[in-house]
Amino acid sequence: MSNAVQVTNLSKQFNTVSVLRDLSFTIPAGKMSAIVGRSGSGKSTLLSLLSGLDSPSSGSVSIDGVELAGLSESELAKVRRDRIGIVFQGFHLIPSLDALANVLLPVAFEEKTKQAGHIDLAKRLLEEVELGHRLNHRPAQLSGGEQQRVAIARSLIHRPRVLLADEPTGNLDESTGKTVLSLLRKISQEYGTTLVVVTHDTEIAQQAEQRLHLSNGEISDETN
Amino acid sequence: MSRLHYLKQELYYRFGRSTVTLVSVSLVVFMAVTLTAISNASSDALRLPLENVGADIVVQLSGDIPKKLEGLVFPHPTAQLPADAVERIRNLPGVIRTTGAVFLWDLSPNKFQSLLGVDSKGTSGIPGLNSQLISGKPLDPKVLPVEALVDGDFASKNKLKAGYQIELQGKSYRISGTVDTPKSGNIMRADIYLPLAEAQLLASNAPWIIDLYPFTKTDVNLLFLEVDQRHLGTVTSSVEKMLGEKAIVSSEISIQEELEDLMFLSDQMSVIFTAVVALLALALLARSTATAISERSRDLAVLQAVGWTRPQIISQLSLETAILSGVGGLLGLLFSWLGIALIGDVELAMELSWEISPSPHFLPETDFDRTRMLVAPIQMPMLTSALAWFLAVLTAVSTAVLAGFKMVRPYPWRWLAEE
Repeated sequence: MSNAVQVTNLSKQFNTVSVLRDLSFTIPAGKMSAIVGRSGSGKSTLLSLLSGLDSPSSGSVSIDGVELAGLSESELAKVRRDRIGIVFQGFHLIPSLDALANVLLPVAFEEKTKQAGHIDLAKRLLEEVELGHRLNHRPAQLSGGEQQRVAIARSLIHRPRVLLADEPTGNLDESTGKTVLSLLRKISQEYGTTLVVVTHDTEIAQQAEQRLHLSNGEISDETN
Repeated sequence: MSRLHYLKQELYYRFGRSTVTLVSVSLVVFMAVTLTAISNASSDALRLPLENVGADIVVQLSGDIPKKLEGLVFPHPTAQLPADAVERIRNLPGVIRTTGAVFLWDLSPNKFQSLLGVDSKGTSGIPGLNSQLISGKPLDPKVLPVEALVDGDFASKNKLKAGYQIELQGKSYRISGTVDTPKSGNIMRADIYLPLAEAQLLASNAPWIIDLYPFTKTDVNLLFLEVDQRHLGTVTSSVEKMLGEKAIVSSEISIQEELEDLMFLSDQMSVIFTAVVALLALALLARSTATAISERSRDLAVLQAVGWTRPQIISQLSLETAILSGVGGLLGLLFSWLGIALIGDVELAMELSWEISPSPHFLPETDFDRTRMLVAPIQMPMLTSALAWFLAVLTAVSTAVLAGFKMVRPYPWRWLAEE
């Protein structure tokens, strides 16, 4: 089985504080992996490096066979646009846009000829996250769980190979969190996407095929 | 979803912020256009006295008071212009054309009338007079016996019309026609107009003129200059230098100096004032644009996270700002147009200097009010309008680009991480 993510000797320092220390691991393609750890263990920092939204102090990250180190800003953006979907704990939807437009945001610059297909896919994704009736609602008109479901649909519009989710249920109540997570799993399986979830919730971690325990910036345990 | 859809939604959603930018741009354009329009109208008003004269510069020489104020005299204290000085003035660099004239007062016991003899050349000469004929025939210097044109107001006050006779120094002249002098815009105003040669002949035979000056049939006491505007200052100072202390050189500059205290805005002051106001307004605009973009730092990071490149984000911000500032600029132009229409005119009260006033102010029986209201319409300055609009849009878009470069960082995680 090929690896969707390959991390080699990855370290990150903020001034003199070492947040991640010499991490090396791989995440197999098409599976769900959980990066588990307490608050401050470096989970979110690791996710920022995997998504290319931050730069490592040393080491390398390879996503779907593409080495991120040395890529220009535009090349990194292209990797995110083509291969990575991201779901944030705080949803991060654009407040001025309705649900449908938010989902279409990653493909706004694509050719006009592809737009019709994207709109169909966006509607289908919103149907799948049970928001088919909320296409024209703005984030402020949606509940937290609904906003996170829009964010999930947005992260899949360009059919990414790797979906990175940073505490996707962190801002939701338990029941909504469960619904969102099962949706994440279901849709990523359906689209053959590798799902990497950063969480401190052991219950969520239990659902993953691979678990990486992060403690003090190091992987203390890896369970497959 | 197209970029334009996003743009429209942003502008609508952030209505307050969009309004601030709109108002800022409108203010920049309104200030620049309105102040320039008022300043231009003030300058136009200052040119009005000389427009009626029809010359850029009027040259006279201060003279002496005749021993007796009787018959034909030079307006006090005009003197004869030396022939060699006239020739040298004609040859000054920047002088396009000159028109000689003889200006006289006819002082009789029971009446006063002013007389101007002008030649048939130049914009200040007979062609200018003939262009505003009210009745009768144009003045033709070749017609014999010599005829006279009379001012329309003077004619109606004295019940004169074309074909009537008028007497000057015992000589009778047929009135060829009446003329609307103020409208002619080409001549210093007088009651009676004669061909230059006839006026020179009359002056050279007037006892109280030849008592003071060796005036011959070829001399003049008034010279109208048409000057290349770039040389207005240098020609004025050259003439003053040439004629010495007694020179009376009337030009836009001299009138401007005279009006300095009265002027609402001098040219320099208005330029400085307009520039300062425009700069402050531009600074306000730049600040509001930069603030609007910095408020969106998290949104910009989201766009990066979903795969937008920095140039794509900056082009989106620039497009938004360009449309907003373009519309704001047009609103500013509309408000300026409304403001200008509302104000209408610039009015400046000015006492005409006697040298360009047609009547002898020193005569006790003369009730001529030399105070003149200079009224110039305020007009929309088209070039300034276009420049102000362009500058406002350029400032807003440049600020958007700079703010975009500052806000869209290569690694935007810090804007996205949960606190």
